[in-house]
Amino acid sequence: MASTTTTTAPPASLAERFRLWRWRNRQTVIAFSVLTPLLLYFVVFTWVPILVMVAISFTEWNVIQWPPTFVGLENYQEILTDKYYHNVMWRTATIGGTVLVLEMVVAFGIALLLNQPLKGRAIYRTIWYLPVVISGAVLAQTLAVFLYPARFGALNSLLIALGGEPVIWTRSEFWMPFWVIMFSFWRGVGTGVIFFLAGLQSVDPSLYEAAQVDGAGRWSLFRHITIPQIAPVTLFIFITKLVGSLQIWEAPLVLTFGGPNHSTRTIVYSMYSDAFGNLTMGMAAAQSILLLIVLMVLSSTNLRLLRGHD
Amino acid sequence: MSIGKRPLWLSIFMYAVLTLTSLVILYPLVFMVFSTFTSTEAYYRTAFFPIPDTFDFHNYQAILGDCSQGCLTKSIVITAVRALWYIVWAMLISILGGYAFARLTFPFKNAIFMFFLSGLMVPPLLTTLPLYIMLARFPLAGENDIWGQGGHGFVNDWPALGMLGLVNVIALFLIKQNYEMIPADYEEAARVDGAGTMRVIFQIYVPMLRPALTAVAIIEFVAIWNDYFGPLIFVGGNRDITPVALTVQRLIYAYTQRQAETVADFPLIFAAATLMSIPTILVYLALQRYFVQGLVGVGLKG
Repeated sequence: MASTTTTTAPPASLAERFRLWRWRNRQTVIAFSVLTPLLLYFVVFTWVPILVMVAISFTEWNVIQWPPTFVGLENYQEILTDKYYHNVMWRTATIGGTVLVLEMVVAFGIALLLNQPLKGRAIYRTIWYLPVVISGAVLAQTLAVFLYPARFGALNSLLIALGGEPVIWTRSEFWMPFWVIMFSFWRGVGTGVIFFLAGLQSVDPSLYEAAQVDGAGRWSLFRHITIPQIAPVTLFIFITKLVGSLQIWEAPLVLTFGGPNHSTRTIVYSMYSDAFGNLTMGMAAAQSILLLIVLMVLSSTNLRLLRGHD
Repeated sequence: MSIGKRPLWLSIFMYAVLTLTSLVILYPLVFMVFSTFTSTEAYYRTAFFPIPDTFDFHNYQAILGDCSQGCLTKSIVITAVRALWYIVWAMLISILGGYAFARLTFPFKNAIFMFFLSGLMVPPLLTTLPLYIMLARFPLAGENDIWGQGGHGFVNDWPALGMLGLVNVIALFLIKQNYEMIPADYEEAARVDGAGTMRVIFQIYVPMLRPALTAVAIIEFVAIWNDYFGPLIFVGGNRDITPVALTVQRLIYAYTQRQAETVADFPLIFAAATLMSIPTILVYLALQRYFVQGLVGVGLKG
């Protein structure tokens, strides 16, 4: 940037003094004239609603009755002590955790392969990203057809062709969480692949060349150059995937409405059914605030880990 | 990062892994498209993989002509306009905001940036109810009085389709990272020539940010095109302005219900799903050249 001007005589008028102040702080002035509207918008449409939900979480409210009944911390107490909510949280952690690990591992593996000089890798890359660009609700509808009971379901017709017994998938407490995991993985893994690939391609090739001159082997290059170089992008993928996989709810909703026997009820699905099904807004709000706190704590811990890593 | 020559077995292994896994990823989509060209009888005969036997577009014509849930053609136009609106805002906001965060020094810069990033953590479902109340009770809108009472506000009206979620935090982050990859020399040279901030941004930086902006456009288009839950809540009561994802969802639901007693006409249902998926796939295919290139910036620290 240009150097700051030095003034010898003190400015006479107020207007001139203002102009001088603006010149001295021009970066701040530009930044805030751009960011103030954004901040206002962000506060009004994101943080005000959150604060409203915090307020609602201390009440019992069925949307119709006014005013809501104040109940203090009872909702939070119920979530932290009630068995139903324990199960919901446990399922969210297991389903979300499995999806997260699967997506990270597979996405990294596929991205490594796609980063090799292979013919037709653009086609493979396109295929892996396709499920991401298609509507989740529509895709879940497709999966529902595969899980259709009896022999009309695609999977069952395969089982029958192989000489097995058809499975009533949608009634199985073992299989439905499995299919929710598979669906979420299938839908989300493409973003991981594409971001890992972007990370791998942004590694400076001269680093590899220099190390090769020093006689480093394949594994050593991978361990000492690739891994540290893509650490930031890995963290970015991890945090966004973490936030996403703890919020899985579309697949349980479209496939079995959280069933069978609540076996695919994740916390966001439970929020949804408390808010729009049972009309217990206080409970829905308390769950969402707890989830928000967990997500923020987990993400900021991860960020701090990276900062400490430097 | 190829080192020397790759042994043949390794090449075969890599192709095999990629091909097999890609087939698994692709299978449901191919199933979906193929079944739309299959007659219902043939579909039920071979459910694992439908073998097309009617090579015409009668299923698609039926879907496009069905106005029972609001006309699909109209929904498509509405959604295209809406997507354009959101893309323009996402780009504008991230171009200006990204510049401020990447190139300017000002007090509380990091705190403000982290504040925006916190938006990524907020479950969309969390803010839905308060936003609904805010839109419904907006003063002087949709027959509301100055206290926001008496009318429907913006709910079920056009503004509800374009007011929410205009600040795309991912886009802001992505563009900011991309700014940081551009050397400051370009800007300094332009400044010496007397260019102002806006000229620097739009004539120097924007052309260099094109891949990243393309990525932003793709991400935003996909998000808006597939946005189903927001419209369901905010404009669900007005079939004249329903975006395409909600219309298709309703069509599929109606077909499933209507045919629940007999057998469902899955080729028809899949035709709706396919039709809905074509635009996002086309946009992605057309622009994917820039996509990975545009995402490279997230790898930077900062």
